[in-house]
Amino acid sequence: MSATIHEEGDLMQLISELERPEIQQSLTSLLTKLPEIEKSIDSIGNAVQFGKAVLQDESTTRKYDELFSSYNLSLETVASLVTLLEKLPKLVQMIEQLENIIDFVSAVLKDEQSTDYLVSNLKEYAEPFLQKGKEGLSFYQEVQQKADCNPQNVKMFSLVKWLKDPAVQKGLCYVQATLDVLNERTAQNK
Amino acid sequence: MKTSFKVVIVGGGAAGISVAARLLRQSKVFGGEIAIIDPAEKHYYQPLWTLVGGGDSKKEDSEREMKDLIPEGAVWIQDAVTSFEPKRNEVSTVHGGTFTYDYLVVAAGIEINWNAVKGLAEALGTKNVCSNYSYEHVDYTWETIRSFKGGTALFTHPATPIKCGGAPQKIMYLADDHFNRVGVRDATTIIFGSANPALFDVDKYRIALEKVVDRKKIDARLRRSLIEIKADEKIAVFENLDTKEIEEVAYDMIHVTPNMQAPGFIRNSPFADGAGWVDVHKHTLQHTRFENVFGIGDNSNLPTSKTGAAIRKQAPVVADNIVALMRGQQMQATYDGYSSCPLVTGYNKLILAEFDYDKKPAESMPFNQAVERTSMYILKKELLPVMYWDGMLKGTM
Repeated sequence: MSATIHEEGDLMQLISELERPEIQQSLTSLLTKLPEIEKSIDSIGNAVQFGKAVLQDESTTRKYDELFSSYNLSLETVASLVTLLEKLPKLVQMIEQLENIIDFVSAVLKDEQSTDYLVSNLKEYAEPFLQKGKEGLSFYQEVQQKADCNPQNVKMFSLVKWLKDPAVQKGLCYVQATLDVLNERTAQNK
Repeated sequence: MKTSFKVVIVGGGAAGISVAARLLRQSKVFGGEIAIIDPAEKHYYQPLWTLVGGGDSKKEDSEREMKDLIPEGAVWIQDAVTSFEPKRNEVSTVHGGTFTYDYLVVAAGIEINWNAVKGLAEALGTKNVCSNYSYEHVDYTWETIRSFKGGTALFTHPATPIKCGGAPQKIMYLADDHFNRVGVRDATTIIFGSANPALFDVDKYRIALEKVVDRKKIDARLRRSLIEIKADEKIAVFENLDTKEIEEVAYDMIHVTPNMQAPGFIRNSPFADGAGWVDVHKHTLQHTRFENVFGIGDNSNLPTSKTGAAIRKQAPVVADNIVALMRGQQMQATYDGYSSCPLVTGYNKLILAEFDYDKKPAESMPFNQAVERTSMYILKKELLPVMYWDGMLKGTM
């Protein structure tokens, strides 16, 4: 008995809902769209059918299975892909910076005026060092030439004469000082 | 001829070309859609002029053809802007052209007013009156310093905003160094007549420069504004900005930093603030009243030092914000007032000042940049020009 009352109440509520103009409007709109909805459902059905057919087609599934297995795809790959996606904003920033650097270097290399400017100024910095190098080289060449042109034997008298030379004296003083320091250190360590 | 562009840029200087290059790198949609309006045939890397005046660089290295610098994809309109009509998004030029835009970038630089100091325009380049602020006359600065035999060497800094606020001092320090090298320093008095209340705005570098001035025995006279040059008598007339007294200083050579102002067609435009500069928001660089207009570089009223380094940081902000507006997005890019001044304190010595709106140091190097360093001098002389031509003007730096 109570169930019947309950059902009647539900029915009344439904009727009153149906009487609402916005519900009626929605129902009308839904009815006019029914052919379109039917078409969409058909399309979905076709897609599902196609999926089933593909899965049932062993030769096709085998072919794709072989294709995928030729790649090293795994859960790890998928996880990496997700991680990569997460990092993309930062990576893009870094790639842009790298791109700017590469473009800058390319622009410098293509720019004759800039490369000339850099090279000519670099020469200025290198000049004092090159000059010293050249001086050293000419000194060595002069010594070499004189040695080659002087075949005479060195005698005892020449050695004594050398000893008076200030350059030799300075060298000998340096040797003497080194020996003195060495001796002092040795004495301290004893 | 195309007269309507997505972006019109007024001025083909450091700011205009940098913004154009950056926009073109950001999106292909800008190809053929950016117009740069500038009448100049030549483009100058002006920071090098300090070293040219000091005899340490060639002025030809600071000059390039404008046509070689216009980025590929931008259209160069070789004409001068006369007026703006922001309600119609229009710009008019001397030769009768009218160009419309979706977005406008005002990057016209700063104008030198040689006539603000009586007698300067007539005397410049003669009678030991020189200035590094003119490509034509910058050689004469070196000629004057080189041929100086002792006496009073006078250097000035005006009472207006100027481009590169450190330049008036840099040439003075180079001159002092040269006078020492050639043995005339003992017979020389160096005077720095500056309208500013201090040697530098940022405390850290001000303290360092005060030590340099003390060491070099330079007579720094602050709050003095040069108002007249009597070139025949070799007398400079200053106004004491505090007492309003007029002071005459006899000199044997004078290096003048001229008064500067916003270009005339900007001063008289709807974009100008009360002082004539393009009125922009200090962080977004968007105009305060016209939302499709941006101002950048020396012609803007940004409360920071007017330098190329500042423009290097402003250009990406303007480019990014224009792209954001185009895409209907919020503007995200902001400018913090960064500026930099490589303060040459002698041959092979330099303090690299870098700072922001708050006048706080914003140094890039991992060492104290208030110390005079040879490495920073090499950076200024050798690397910064190349970074400018091939990095900044290409939109990569």
